[in-house]
Amino acid sequence: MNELEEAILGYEKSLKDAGATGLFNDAVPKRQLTPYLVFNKMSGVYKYTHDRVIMYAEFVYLFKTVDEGRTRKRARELLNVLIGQIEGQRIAVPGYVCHPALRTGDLEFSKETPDGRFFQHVGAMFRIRVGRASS
Amino acid sequence: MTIKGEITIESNLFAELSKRFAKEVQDAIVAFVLHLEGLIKRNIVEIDAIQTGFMLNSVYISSGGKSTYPAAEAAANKAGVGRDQVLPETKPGENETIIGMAAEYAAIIEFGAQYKSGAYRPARPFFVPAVEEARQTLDKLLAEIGARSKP
Repeated sequence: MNELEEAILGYEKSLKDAGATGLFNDAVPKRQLTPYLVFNKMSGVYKYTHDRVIMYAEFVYLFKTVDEGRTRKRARELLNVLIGQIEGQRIAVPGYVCHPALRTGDLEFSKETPDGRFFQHVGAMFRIRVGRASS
Repeated sequence: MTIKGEITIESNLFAELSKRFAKEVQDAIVAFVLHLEGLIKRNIVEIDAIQTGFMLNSVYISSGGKSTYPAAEAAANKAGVGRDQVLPETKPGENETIIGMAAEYAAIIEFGAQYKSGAYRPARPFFVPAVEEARQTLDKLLAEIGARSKP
């Protein structure tokens, strides 16, 4: 896990206060109760100077609420709590400068498991540009 | 299950260029989506998400009344995939080009979801990384048209 992902995990408390059972990076523990949020890096593109020093990295992250049930209402509400803290904001990452996070797309789908359980996935993608803080 | 996602690429050069250089812009977009298709397929191979080969061959491009969607359908038939696992074609509007996946489960692999017993399988993105990588190609192609347009 990188420093940005560790910083994002700092939002877990506010999400738990809002009713989520947790915030996870990439992997989710087995038998985790819903609703929970999970985020993962979808893409990372690095920009270099002519002498091959990284100028900045541009990441795309997917943030998603997963909830069991037939409606997406609770999943949307929880995602909005996280979006409210991220959209247009600079995520505080020690040693780095984050540009304001840009929301680039939304995502909603349902998935029924073979044993008949119904899960709702409600997410949003953000573009986050990160550079090293100058010393 | 219905899954709908949309990735929009915006460029402030596009509106002006597309009016003045419609053919060049269309050619640039076709070059871009062909490049993108290659990157998507490369990524699918890299994440080792191949069982029947249907998802790999379900990438299709639809533009200007032409479409490679029938080839994706043929790939489904060849792989013995049920119709419920084949998404319908997304038709492009005027001056639009669509690059899509006919495999219904592609979004599940891309974005992550529950599998048996509700266990969560993490996302294994292959489409978004390809778009992000290819964006630079589109910028370059449009910039070249822009440079040619200068007197």
